[in-house]
Amino acid sequence: MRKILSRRTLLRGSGGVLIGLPFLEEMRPRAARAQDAAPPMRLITMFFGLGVAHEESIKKFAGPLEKYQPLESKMAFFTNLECKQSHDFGSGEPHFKVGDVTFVGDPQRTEYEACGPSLEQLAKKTLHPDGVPTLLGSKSVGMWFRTGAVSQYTRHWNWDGSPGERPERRPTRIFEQLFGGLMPTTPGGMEDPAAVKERHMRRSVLDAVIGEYKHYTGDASPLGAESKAKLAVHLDNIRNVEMRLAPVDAAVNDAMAQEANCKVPSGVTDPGTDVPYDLAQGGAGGSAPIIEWEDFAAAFQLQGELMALALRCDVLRFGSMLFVGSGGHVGFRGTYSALGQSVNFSQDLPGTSPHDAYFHNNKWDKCRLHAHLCNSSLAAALTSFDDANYLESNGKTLLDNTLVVLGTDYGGGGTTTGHNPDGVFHAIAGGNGHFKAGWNDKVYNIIDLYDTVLKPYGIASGIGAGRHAKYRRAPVEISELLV
Amino acid sequence: MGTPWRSSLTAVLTGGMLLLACTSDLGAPPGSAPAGSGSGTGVGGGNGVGAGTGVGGGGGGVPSSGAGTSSAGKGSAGASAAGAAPGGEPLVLSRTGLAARLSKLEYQNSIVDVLGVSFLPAELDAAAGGIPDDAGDGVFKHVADKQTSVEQHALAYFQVGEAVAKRVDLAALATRLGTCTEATAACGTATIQALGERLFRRPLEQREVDAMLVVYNAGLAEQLVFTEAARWTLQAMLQAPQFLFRMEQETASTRAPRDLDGYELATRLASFLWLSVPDDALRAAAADGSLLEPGVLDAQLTRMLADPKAQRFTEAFGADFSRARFASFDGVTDADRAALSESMLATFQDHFWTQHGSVAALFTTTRFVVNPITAQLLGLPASGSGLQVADVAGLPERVGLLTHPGMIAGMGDRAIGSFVNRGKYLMERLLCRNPIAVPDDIAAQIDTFNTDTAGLNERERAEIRMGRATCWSCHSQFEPLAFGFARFDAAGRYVGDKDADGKPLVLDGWVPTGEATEPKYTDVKSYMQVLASDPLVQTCMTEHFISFATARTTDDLSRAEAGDVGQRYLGDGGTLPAMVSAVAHSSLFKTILAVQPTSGGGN
Repeated sequence: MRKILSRRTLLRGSGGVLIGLPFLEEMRPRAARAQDAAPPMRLITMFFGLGVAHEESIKKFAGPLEKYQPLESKMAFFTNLECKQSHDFGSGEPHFKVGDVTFVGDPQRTEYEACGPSLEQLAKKTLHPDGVPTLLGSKSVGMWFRTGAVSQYTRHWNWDGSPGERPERRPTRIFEQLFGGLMPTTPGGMEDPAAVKERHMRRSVLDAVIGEYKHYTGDASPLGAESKAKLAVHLDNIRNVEMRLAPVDAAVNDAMAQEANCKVPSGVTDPGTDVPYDLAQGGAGGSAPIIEWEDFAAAFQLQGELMALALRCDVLRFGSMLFVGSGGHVGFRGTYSALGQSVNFSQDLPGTSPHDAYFHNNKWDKCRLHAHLCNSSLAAALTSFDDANYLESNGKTLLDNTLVVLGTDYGGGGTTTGHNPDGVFHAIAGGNGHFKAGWNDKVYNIIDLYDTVLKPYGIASGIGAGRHAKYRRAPVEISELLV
Repeated sequence: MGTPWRSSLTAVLTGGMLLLACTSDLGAPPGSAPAGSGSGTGVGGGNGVGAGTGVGGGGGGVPSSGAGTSSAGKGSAGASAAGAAPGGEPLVLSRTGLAARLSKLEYQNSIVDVLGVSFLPAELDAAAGGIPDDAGDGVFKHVADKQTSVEQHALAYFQVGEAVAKRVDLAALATRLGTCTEATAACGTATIQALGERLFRRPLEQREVDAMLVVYNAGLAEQLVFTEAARWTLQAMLQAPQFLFRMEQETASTRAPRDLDGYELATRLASFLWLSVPDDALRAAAADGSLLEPGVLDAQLTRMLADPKAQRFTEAFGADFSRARFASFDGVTDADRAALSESMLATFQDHFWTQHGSVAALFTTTRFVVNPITAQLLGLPASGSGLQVADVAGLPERVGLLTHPGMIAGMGDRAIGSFVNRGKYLMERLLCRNPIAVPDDIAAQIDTFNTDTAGLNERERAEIRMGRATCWSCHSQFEPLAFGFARFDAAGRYVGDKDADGKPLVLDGWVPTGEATEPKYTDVKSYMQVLASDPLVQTCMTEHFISFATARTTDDLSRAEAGDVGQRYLGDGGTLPAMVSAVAHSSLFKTILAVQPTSGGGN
């Protein structure tokens, strides 16, 4: 019987003494996997709030997009997208309207409710209709603090357009959610008879539960369509966490027997001492706490590292990351310097936010630096994915083998009055060699981009094809993007 | 059922609601949600101006409330109103069913009441991975129309269910249920049936028994003793949709209203009044069909209201109505929120259960139950710890529950006590309406408004908005509701009759019921008296009880029902039991509009 050490065994050491290890060594046997096995399809969306003005994005690396330069050979930049559908068919607060559309494409179905799934959920369900064979179906993480309409912070939209998982902020909790399920619950380790029995019974429980949900969402159900759809979403969520709740033996062994790239630390620490990671409500008017920008960025960077590790460990393949929600309603503290300029958040933002103080007061120089902060943080996350110390079985980095779609809300800025669904910035990173790197300033709709990037994976997006009662638009293929 | 019916999208609007269309002067904003397309309410824009959202009524129509009449959630044509038959039979209002996931409280109470185990704090702490909080727009957080499901629900129900099941004394439970404890199929079947009837709120079908027996038998195959096999089976039941969702027979061969059967009615009653499952007596009345008789229903209502569990309903109602737990003002701490919530709820409970007060008298009561933090905000001397009754009649502008600091602090945000945010909060609670979305061409003006009006107080800002033609049509419908609270800061403290610049804080305003600027008020006392007596406000309060009881958002159907319910309630004495009885006897509560089955689904 293959011996698998449990983390608890190692940490206890001899004589029951706890051994504090900064990192766990790879202690799981290598899986018997084909050396040329292709990495699975992965899709991660990354969002930052408050946009970047078109006048700034076309400066390329001389502007707020500066920190992407080391990755330029792996990225395609789109500086002039439009999303008029968010305005023509949307209602509600402008920045939140765009939140319903970003990474979805079709306009909102109802106020603050998307029309369909976000890109990573679309890919996940299309490629894995019976559930993703990973411990988690998907994961949503981010740093955001204004509450109110879910569109401000939700980037995981379920198949029916209802909001999915709210981005988890606290890195220690993300760590537990991503990696906690790998650990055995019985002292003897995964092969302990008690552990095996427990796994079998959990499986039996889940099978029974899933069977009942299938009954109530099937033809023999006493429920109407709307109730069925509601239960179907819940069933989908069960599917997403099924492997974590009750992994089957083979999957347990596969999860444990990772490639050398899967080095799970013993734990992480949440950056900052006064970051309100657990804030549930920001107040009826959406007032946000004031947070040291460095702590904010550090937390997001750690989130990026954890997501990268989770992808390498094949704990998940789909997810979303968010740095500042739509509209940029976060109160930062501290001084931020870049591009030869500085902005004093502490002086400018008490009681307000970049949205109110900068964007709607036409302080475009300060908006520039806010955008720089946001994009630098996303670039740091991409860098975590692109770590050449962890090459995959095909000799490429995680980033090379993952499709990352970056986006934001309004591009309005400079001499415009904002809330302008033109000149919206998006980017593609990685993408399994399917895309050409470079810059594109042609006017496309965001659905053209979303539809195009899914095509090489054999995914027909269906965006614009009838999900919305009034919106129909055949996506235009961005042929110059495709290899 | 036999009662004829017809669909009625506009339905019956009681009280002659004549609110002006917010966009009648502006034209329909582009892309407004079509009528009846579901609902959602935003919160005030960061600048404290009207970035609220409309619901379901369409861009050019009357500002609507809650879900549109044709929507039972997400756009299905779900409502009907029954017209009078040729023989003059009464109007029957009925709604399509919608599976309602148990609220967090209902989940907790159901397990406590059936299994006799309590929860650990972490199991109920959403931030710690426990059961997620009920969330969503609208007044009440448990309404079925607003529920969404996230992965944490699946995770938490599994993990908490497993942990809870481990704490159940299965042997003692079996004794209580009168079932056996041998590791046999017969004992397993008996346990599943007994437990299932309580957790699923009705007898189990054989198919369901067989499904749960698979788990039990898997346990026996693993050489588990009865209690352990039963424990895993219980885990499955605690996660099954039959427990987590209140479901009804929604389909029939023809689309028509029907009376709920006994178990369905028992489930709704227990959910409404106890936030839990039916007890043995209620299930017995369901089983023999007697619960469907009005006299038996009345007797059960009396029994249920006499049970201490009935206080759960008013506590949940008051918690959501006030939002005290989300109190927002400069320097607020979690302790402040907890204290304000505690005091607000204690006042609410005292009013209904100790004073036997009416719904209308909520607006005029001067009897608060306060703790030291609340007393301090009221300007009262704090004597001792804990809760004490206080008479606030002598305090300036303090009358009615709306002037409780917990209510005021839950209304808005920041230090200034935004009139827009307060107005929208009050519009939703007093008039069962929400402002519609700000048109894009107005949004740009709003963006600079605060800059243009720096240095003015909230009333002055409001007057400027009232003076602008493009603002008046919408803002006149909710901002005047906030005028009477001008002398209370965001924490609910009385600040005097002048602002920090010495300008008078005027209190006069009106309640926007649609009749121009009537009825007027001149101070808080007259304001509260208007609220206590205005038919539209009292109808809205009745709608809230209907909404709470049926776990559905307020809409034209509930407004149509509120008229009859209100009359019955007043005729029965205007007490809480009278309201409960009137709601429980209403057609919206006791019937369901069956729809034809759909095929497909499953996963």
